[in-house]
Amino acid sequence: MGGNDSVKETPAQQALAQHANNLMSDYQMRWAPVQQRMIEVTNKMGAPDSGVREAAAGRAGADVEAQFGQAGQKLAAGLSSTGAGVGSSKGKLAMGGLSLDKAAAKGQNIAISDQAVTHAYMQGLSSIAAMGRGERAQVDTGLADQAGMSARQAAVDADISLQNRMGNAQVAGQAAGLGYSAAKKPSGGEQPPAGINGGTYLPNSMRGQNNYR
Amino acid sequence: MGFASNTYAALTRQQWADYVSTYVPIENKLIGFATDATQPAKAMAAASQNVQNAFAAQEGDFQRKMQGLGVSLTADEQAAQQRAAGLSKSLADVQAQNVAQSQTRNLQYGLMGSPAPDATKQATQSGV
Repeated sequence: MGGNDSVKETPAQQALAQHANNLMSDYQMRWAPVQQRMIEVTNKMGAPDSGVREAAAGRAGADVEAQFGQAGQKLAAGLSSTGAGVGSSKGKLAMGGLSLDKAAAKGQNIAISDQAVTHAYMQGLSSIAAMGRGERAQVDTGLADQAGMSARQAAVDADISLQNRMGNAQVAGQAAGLGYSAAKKPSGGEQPPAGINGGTYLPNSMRGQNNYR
Repeated sequence: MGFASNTYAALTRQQWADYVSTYVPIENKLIGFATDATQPAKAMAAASQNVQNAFAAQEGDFQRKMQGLGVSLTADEQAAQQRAAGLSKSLADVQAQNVAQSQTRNLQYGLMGSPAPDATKQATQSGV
């Protein structure tokens, strides 16, 4: 090496780096806007008096109204069947009690629905944060990759060197073996080259595009 | 530094910048909520307000219903109804606040690593 201690990158390393660069570009172009949108929607949902909170409160209130509306009709029918009409003292207090129960149910139902929105908001933030932790983990791995690149390259070089050295010794035996198998093989019928897993290789970032069948 | 090293270095810097600008604010929000000792009290106040609003609306609602039926409460019946309303409102208020406090604390603990709370189960257990 003549004092030059820099490690030359292999074509495979350069291709992998280019591939990583392509993946990042693809992510920035297609997925980063989606994630930004998710963050905006989640933040909007969690805001006080947000549309989601109001809708949840409306639904909670409507559910209670529907249930107690039926209960009110049944109560009126029950009062009539016992001879005590809704105009009787018993009937008025029963209707009043039902109205109070409805208010209690509505207040608690709306409170719980509001807390459920807060819960969903925090879950949304947690999901986004989990994506961020993945990215941070990749950063850590990337730093380790860089730190370890030279060491790995040295190991690869040593391995290649070893294979070359050992290969010289094996060439004679392999040549003999190939000659034997060629002699046994029928003529014609050239075998197709084996692809990766017998199919077309796609990087992970491209699999999702047509893999939902 | 060769092409691969430079590329990985640039990608690493970009990922870190993305993480800091996009995800750190989200994490800070989560940490802020999870460690905010005032959150349970805020949730209790909001729950109490919901109950107060519901009972305030109920009073007018009940009056209109009675008018619709063509009946009115006597003085004794009004007093009985007010006593029942006060008791019912207090119970509902306390219950809503207890549930809000419990759910908020569970959510905070969940964010800090404990299992996530089951809001439906909480509601069922509280009898709502």
